[in-house]
Amino acid sequence: MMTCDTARGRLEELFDGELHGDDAASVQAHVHACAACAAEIAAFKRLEDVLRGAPAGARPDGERYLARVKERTRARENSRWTALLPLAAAAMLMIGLAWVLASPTPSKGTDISALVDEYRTADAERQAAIEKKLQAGGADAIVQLKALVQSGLPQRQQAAAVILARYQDKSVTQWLVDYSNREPASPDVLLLEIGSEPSDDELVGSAFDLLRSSKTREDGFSVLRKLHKGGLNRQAAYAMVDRVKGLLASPSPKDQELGLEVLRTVGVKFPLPDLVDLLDVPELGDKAYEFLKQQTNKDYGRDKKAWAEYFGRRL
Amino acid sequence: MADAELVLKFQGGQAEAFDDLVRRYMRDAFSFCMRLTGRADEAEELSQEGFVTAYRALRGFRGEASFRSWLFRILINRWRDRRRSRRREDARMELVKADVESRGAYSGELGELDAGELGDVVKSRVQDLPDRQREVLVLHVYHGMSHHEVAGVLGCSYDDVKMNLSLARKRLRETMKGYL
Repeated sequence: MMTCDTARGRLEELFDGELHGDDAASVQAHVHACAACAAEIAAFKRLEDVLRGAPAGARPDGERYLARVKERTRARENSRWTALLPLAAAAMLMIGLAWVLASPTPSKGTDISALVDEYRTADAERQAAIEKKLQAGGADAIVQLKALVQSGLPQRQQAAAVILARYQDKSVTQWLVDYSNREPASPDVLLLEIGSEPSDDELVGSAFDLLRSSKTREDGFSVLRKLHKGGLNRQAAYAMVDRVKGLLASPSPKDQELGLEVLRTVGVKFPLPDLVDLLDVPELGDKAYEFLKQQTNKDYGRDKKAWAEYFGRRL
Repeated sequence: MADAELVLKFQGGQAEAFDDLVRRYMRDAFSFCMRLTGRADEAEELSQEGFVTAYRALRGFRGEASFRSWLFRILINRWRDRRRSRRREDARMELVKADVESRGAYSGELGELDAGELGDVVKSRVQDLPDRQREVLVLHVYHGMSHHEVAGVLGCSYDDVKMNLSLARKRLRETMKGYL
């Protein structure tokens, strides 16, 4: 029969329906036989009943609500493309990919709108092919892309801006930045857009590269903060955690310090147990300790074993 | 029609499919934001912003999670953005003050506000929870999500969810002692 101590740690999981099969049966059997644990379950139930008994307080008016969402969507659509220009320029500068010019090229005078439209919904491989094709189109393609940025459908304007940013051409980049500066946009539009782009993980990698140099470090942090604030897609969130883990596991104190700095300034969700290993590292232990304390509201000092037990982890 | 089907329709160019998704989830989204913010006007604005973001990002939605979880993730991110901005402005006290003043005052077109004493106590105590504990509690208790689903929405581990839910319950049992 399961002891009270063992059962206590699993009562909430049982109550929440998170235990199954034999696990559930053994804790359940203990609860049937133990008045104290049964009382604990009853207390969870009382709390849950009281919580659920409190209504949210108001309900949205269906059609009016929907109309407002549509109104807001239209307003945002009209302004979004200008917000993307700085991102497009930044992406180009950071990623630094060397595009190989390839044929076939659009001939002079060809309308490139269809290609730009296709670009919006294409997968990464096709996007790269379209970029190459347009870049091979030379000055004529650039002129047309700039024209699309300045007029036309917002989605097309945005796609044209991203393609231009990939040119890695100083004068084109400068044109984008100047154009963007003339019509500054709300930063949250830009940030949210980053969070939903599949290339987030590429940007995460590039931002970490910027952190390596003191000259570009602040830019790297700035990009990471923006990415994080925008709500990273899962792949990018994993990329960020992996990068931080890599830094923390590095034998270089500078890398470890940088990893902690990212955690502190960016607020990335990180598996806290991994920080326990740093508690006895000279110069970093204090920072890791402060961070753990702040994130968990617990204080086990510099005691690695106590923290490890708290996280239910073996050192 | 299943969510996934509506998403595919939208991605295929049928913009009206998004209206159906809004109709389907507006109550869920609104009540979630209401539990987080404690204010009807803010909940309406926040949840609508969430739908606007979802509309713009839906073309890139790859179905790694259910639409509902994905929407909640967006709402959480928007809410955290707001919280961060407010903290930066050190306006939290003002917010609390405004919250107290606004209780019962908002009517707009959103229907009735709850006036029950216990309901107010619950709302107030839930509002007082640390952000992460509140997020976990609201998603689990009010939106019926499993620990794994909550972890997916919040982008954290199962153990984080378990720990924060436990801390939230512990705290609520202490702060609501006289009401349980």
